[in-house]
This record gives sequence, structure tokens and C-alpha cells, in this order.
Amino acid sequence: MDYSASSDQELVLLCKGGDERAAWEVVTRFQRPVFSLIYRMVRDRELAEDLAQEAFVRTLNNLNRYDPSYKFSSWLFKIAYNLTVDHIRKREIDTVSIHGAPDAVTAEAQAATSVALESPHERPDELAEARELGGEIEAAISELRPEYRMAIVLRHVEGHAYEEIARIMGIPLGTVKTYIHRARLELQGSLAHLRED
Amino acid sequence: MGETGQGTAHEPAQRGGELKEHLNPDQIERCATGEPGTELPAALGAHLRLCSACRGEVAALETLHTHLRKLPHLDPSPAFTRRVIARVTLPVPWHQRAWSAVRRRWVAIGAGLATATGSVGGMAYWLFGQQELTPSELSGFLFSGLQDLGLRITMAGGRVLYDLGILELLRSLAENVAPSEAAGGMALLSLIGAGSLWAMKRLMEPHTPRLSRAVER
Repeated sequence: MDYSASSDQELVLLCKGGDERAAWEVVTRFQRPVFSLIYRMVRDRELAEDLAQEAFVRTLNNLNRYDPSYKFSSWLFKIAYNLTVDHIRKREIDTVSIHGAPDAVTAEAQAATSVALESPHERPDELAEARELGGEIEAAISELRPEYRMAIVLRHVEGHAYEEIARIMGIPLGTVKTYIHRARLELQGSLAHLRED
Repeated sequence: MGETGQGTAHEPAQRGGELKEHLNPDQIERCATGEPGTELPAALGAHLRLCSACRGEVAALETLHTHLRKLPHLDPSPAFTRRVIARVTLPVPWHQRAWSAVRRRWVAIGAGLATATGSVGGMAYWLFGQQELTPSELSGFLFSGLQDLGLRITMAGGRVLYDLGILELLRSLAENVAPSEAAGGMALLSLIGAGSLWAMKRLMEPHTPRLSRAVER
């Protein structure tokens, strides 16, 4: 059976039947968006991995609670969001540099907790430019309030619809629109110098 | 925001096609991030052509949207999937759960079966050897108090045993085998039963790999 060609709903059904390869495919399919989202919230690679891991474990261990009338990815992101927000509230993580975790004081610690932003298939000059631009944008995102950050990333990076974002974050649709509108204004302010360049 | 006579960011435009006010955030987003190939409503297009303030907002959002869409997805460490799967306990169908329970408790189940076999065998030995009951008397003795569907099913099962000659075999054994020999036979049968269960457990293992085993691979 070709698991990579299966829909999310089909994979969920297979997982409910105890199919471990379907579970493997679910993790493989969603690990990058979930990890990216969490990393952009907490800015610490190890912590983001731990939270993403916990999100997948909770999702797969509680498949009997999943309502198939909603998108599976929304449910997974909702669990990831709740975990991340709970952690942020508990630890009161502040916004930090993309170059490492808030408590990373040595160069080694910064290297261990930071993430390379480049994507493959880019020439060195394009890579340098993209890294610089990506770094500016990542830094601007990291300065947003956590709820704005989550909303703007879900909308513009992950491409979720407003209704999905409202479901993921557990807030009214109007609030989502407000968050995204304010986040855009703040980002446009932070990145104004890029437009001028 | 530019001032072009069609309005400012704070004042409604007066000549914007059918739209007399500035575009709202939803409309701005639609203009900036609309799917390629989908056409904007004529009223929005007309307003944009005449309103530099809204044009500026759309352009700014377009730029931001483009930058954000270019942000890459980040990769977790290569061992991420393996670590997740190692902690996952998938739901298992009831028949697999039952078989798994049998495999986990095969010693206790084997001992229970052996005890039950020994008890039934001993009772049959006693009934046939000491009371000298015929099979029909035995049936009457055992099932006289039972009158429901379970009784009929059990009787049918007893009839099958009788037809197969098993009851006759037990009776013959009771008449010709000494109690000590019978006890030895029961012990041997118990050992064979436990050994069979152990062999079945070993045989079934490769066909029902657990997640942890898959992770080790």
C-alpha cells in the first residue's frame, strides 16, 4: 500500500486500526509544518522538538477523540498550539533572536538551539540574500505577541483559512481577523526599511 | 498614503467605481493574496484604479504576503519521527488485544487450562470409576438442573463427545488405569498443553510486531 498517496482521513482510519506505518506517514507528512510553527513560537530548537513530539504523541494516542468532520491538520495544529501556548504561559518565554534560545549564552548553546533558515536549490548569493531577508522577517515575527505570531504564521506561512485558524486557536473568527490585521500592521512597520531599500 | 483626490486612508473615496468607501481589510486581502487566475470583482478593480491609498495598502500586503510565503519550513532532527513513534500507542482492534493478552499471560492461562483439564479429568475418572455411571446417567446427573438454551447447547456438545467415543475412552481408562497412573497422565497432558501454548506464542511473535520493535529496526 502506498501510504504517501493516502489522504489524511484514510491515514487516520488506518492508524485507528493499529497500522503503525500509517502513523509513521502522518508524522512524516506533518512534522515540518508543525515543528516550524512551534519553533517560530518558542525560538528554541530543542524545546520546539520536544513540544512537536508531544503534539504528535497526544494526537496519535487520542485518535478516538478526533472528529472526522474537521480537517485532521486543524486538529493536529490545535493540539500543537495549545501545548505551545501552555508552555509559553508557564515559562513566560519572551521573544528572542533567531540565533538561539533565550538562555543560550555561549556560542555552542546558540548553535545548538538555532535553526538554519535557508531552503535547498538556491545559489550562494541567493542563499545569502534569502538568509538575510528571512532573518529580518523571522526577527520581526518573533517580536509580535504570541497570539498575533501564531495567527499570522498560520495564515500567511501555512496558508490556513480564517475559519481553520479560529478553530485551531479556539477564538472567534472576528478575533482572528483582528489579530492578523494588527500583526500585519506591526510587521509592515518593522519591515518598512526593506521596502524602502 | 498618497492624496489623489479620490480620498485618503481616513476619508471615503468619492469616485471609486461603485465603491464609495475605502476597501475593508477583507477586500484588501482579497486583492493582495487572491489566487492566481481568479478575477477580482469589477467594483474592487475599479476602486483600486482610482484610490492610491487602497492601492498602497494592497501593495504593502502583497509584499508582506510574498515574504511570508517564502519562509521555509524548518526540519526537525532526523530522529524525530522515530522518537515520536516510540512513544505512540495506537488503538488496537479487540481481537488483536485479546490475542496479545493471551500471549502476555500465556503461563497463567496455560496453568489455568491445565488445572481445568486436570479437574474435569479427575471428576470424570471419579464419576466413571467410583459411581459406575453410564454416559446417559452422567448426563442426567450433570445437567438435570439446567433447562435453558445453554443446557441444550451443552447437551449437544456432550452428545458429540459421546458419538466421538471420548466418554467411552474416559470410562475405559477409569476402569483399567490406576489412580497414580491417571495422575501421571494428567501431569503429562498439562505439560504438553503448556508447551503448545509456549510454541504458539513463539510462532505468533514475528506476525504481530509491536511499535517498539519497529523502532528498533
